[in-house]
Amino acid sequence: MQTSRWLRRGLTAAALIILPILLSSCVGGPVDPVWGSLSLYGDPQHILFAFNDRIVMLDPVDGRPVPLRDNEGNVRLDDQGNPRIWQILTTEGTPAKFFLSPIPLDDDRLLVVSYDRGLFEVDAPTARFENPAGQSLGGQQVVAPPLLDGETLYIPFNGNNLIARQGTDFNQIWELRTSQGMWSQPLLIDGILYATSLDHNLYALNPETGDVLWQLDMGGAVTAQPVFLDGYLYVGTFGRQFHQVEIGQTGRIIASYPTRDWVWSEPAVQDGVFYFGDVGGNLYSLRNGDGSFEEVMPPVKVANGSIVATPLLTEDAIVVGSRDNFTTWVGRSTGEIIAQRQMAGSVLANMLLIEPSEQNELSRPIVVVSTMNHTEFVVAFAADTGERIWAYTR
Amino acid sequence: MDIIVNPFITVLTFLYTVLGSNMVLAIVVFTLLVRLLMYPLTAQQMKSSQAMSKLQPELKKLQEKYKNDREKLASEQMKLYREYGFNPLSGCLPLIIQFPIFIGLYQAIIHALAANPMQLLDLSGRILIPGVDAVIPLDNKFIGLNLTQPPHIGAGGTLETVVGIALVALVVVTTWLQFKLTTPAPQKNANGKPDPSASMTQSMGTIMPLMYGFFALSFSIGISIYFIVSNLAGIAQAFMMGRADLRNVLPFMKPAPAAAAAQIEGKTAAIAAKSSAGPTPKPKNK
Repeated sequence: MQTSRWLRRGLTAAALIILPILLSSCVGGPVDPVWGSLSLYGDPQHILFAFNDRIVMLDPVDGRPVPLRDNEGNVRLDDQGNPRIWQILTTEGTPAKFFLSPIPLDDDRLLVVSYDRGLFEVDAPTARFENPAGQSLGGQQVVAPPLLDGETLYIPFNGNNLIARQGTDFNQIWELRTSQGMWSQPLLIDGILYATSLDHNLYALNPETGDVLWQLDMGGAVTAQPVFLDGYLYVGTFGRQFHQVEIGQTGRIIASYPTRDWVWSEPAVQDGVFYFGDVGGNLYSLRNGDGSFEEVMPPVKVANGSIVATPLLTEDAIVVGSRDNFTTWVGRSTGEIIAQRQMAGSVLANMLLIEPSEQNELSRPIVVVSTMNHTEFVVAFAADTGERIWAYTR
Repeated sequence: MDIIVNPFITVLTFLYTVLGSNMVLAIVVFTLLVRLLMYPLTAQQMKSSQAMSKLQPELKKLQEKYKNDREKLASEQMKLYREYGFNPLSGCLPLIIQFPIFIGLYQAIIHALAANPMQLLDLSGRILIPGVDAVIPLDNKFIGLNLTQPPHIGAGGTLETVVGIALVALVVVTTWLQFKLTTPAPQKNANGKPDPSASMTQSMGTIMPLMYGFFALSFSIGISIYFIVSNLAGIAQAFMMGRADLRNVLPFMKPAPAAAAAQIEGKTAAIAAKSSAGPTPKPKNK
C-alpha cells in the first residue's frame, strides 16, 4: 500500500515535469529569429560573417579566420600564447545576438547593431568592443541593417518605427511611427529617404526631419529594400506583385508584374534586367518595358523552398540560395539548372561574389554562401562550376 | 500537424480580415468556434468523467472485496459498467481526438502572430485560400501591447505592467475556476481519510493554474488570451451541461449530497450481493 502511494506520487511528479516540457515543445524550441549576413571589409578584402553569437572575419582564399596583427604585422597572441583571430563571441561577455553586417564607421572602427541589445562599436584592429555594454535601443529589435549617411544613422525597427540618430553619440534626431515593423534598409536618393514597411507602405521622408513627404500603398507587406534605376524605384511585395514606382512630388505605381508568391527581397539588376525569387521557389527575370514588364524568360521553379536571398549574377548563371538547403546555378539565358549543391542548412542570407584581384590572391571568382547550420556556416564555391572550395564551420 | 494547423491559420486570418483587423477579436471568435466544433467530444468526455467519479466508491468496494481474485474483480467491474451504461473507453477517445486539435489551435495562433522574419517565412504557404494572405502580417498590437511578446511586467511602462499582471492573473484564476467547477470534490474512504487518488487530483488543481500562469508569463500575450477564452468557454460549457458544481468553489453552498451517494451505495450493495449469491442483473444497455 505504502509502495503504491509512493509510486503514485512519483508518477504525479513525473507528469508535472513532463507536461510543461510537452507543452513547451508545442510552441517550438528557441529558433534563430533571423538568418545571418555576409559582407566584405578591409583592404585586402575579407569576409565578415555575422550570425547569432559571433562575428568572424574570414580569408576568402581558404575560409580561415583572419589572424589579428599588431602595427608591425606580427600575429597577436592571447594570454596562453596562442594566435588571436578576428572573432567576436557573445559567449565572452556581451549577451547580444548578431545577424547584421557591421557598418564601417572609419578606417579602424565598425558599428555593430545587435538584434536586441543595441549598438556596439568595435575596434577593428583588435576585434574588441569599445563599449561592451552597448548603446541601448530600448529593448527594440533590429532585423535590417541601418543606413549610415554622413553623420546620421537611420535604423529600421521591428517595433514599428524608423529612428534617425546621430552617428557619433547616437542621440535620437527624429522618429517615424508606422503600423507594422520595418524589415529593410532605408534608401537615400537625391536627398529623399525611402523606407518600406510591413504595413504595406513605401514612405518618402525628409531625411533631416523625418517628415513624410508621401506614402504609397504597395498592396502587400514589403520586406525588400527598393532598388533605384533610371529615376524609378522597383520593389516586390507580399501582395504577389513586382512594382515600378514613379517618384517625385508624390509616388505612383506605373507598372506591375504578378508573381506566383510573396517576394521577400530586392532584385539583382544587370543590363536593365531584374532577377528575383519568391517564397514559392520561383525565379523571375524581367525587363522594364513601356509601362509594363517583359519576361526575359518565363518564371522557373528552381527550388522547393523559399527564395529569400537576392540572386547572385555570375557571367553565365543566376545563383540562387533557398530554404530547402540548396544553392542552385541557373542558366541566365535558358533558365535551366546548371548545377545544384546541397548545403547543411537553409540558404537565406545574401551571397557574395568575389572576383580575383591583386589584393585577395584568389585565382578565380568565388561565390560565398552562408547557412544557418554550424557545420557549414560559410561555404565558398567556384563561381563558374559550382565546385566546392572551402567551408567555415564552428 | 500541418494538416490541422494550416486550415486553422487560414480561418484565423480570414476572421481577422472580417473582424476589422482586430487580432484579439479574431482569437476570441476562433477559440469559441473551435470549442463549439469540439462540443460533442468534450461533452462526451465530461459525461464519462462524471460517471467514472460517481462509480469510484463502488469500484473501491469491489476492489476490496475481490482483492485476491483479479479475474472476478474484472468481471464484476464490467458488470458495474454495464449496469450504469458506462463505457470505460468513452472518456479517453474524445481526449485523444481533442489533443491534436488544441495543439493545432495553439500553433495556429503562434504562426499567425509571426513576430520575426523566420516566423513570417514559416507562415508562407500555410494560408490555403488565395487572397486571404493579402492582410499579412497581421496587426499584433493590443492596447499598445505586442501580442507576440510575453508580458513585460516591470520592464515596460505602467500599462504593460498592469495589463501583463491582469492577464497572468486571469489565466491563473480561470484555469483554477474551470478545474474546481468541473472536478468533483474529494471523497473520503472508509477510514474517513481523503482518498489518495482524489488528493492527487486536488493537488493537480493547485499546480495546474500555477503552471499555466508560468506559461502566460513565458509565452506570447496572444496565447494568454487563448487560455482565458478557452477556460471561460469550458466553464460556460460545463454550466450549460449541468456539470459545473458551484459548491466546489463556494463551500457555504454545500448541502449534503447524501441522496446521490446513498443511491449509488445501495446499487453497489445490491450488485455485490447478487454477484455473490446468484445471477447478475440484466444490463440496462443491450
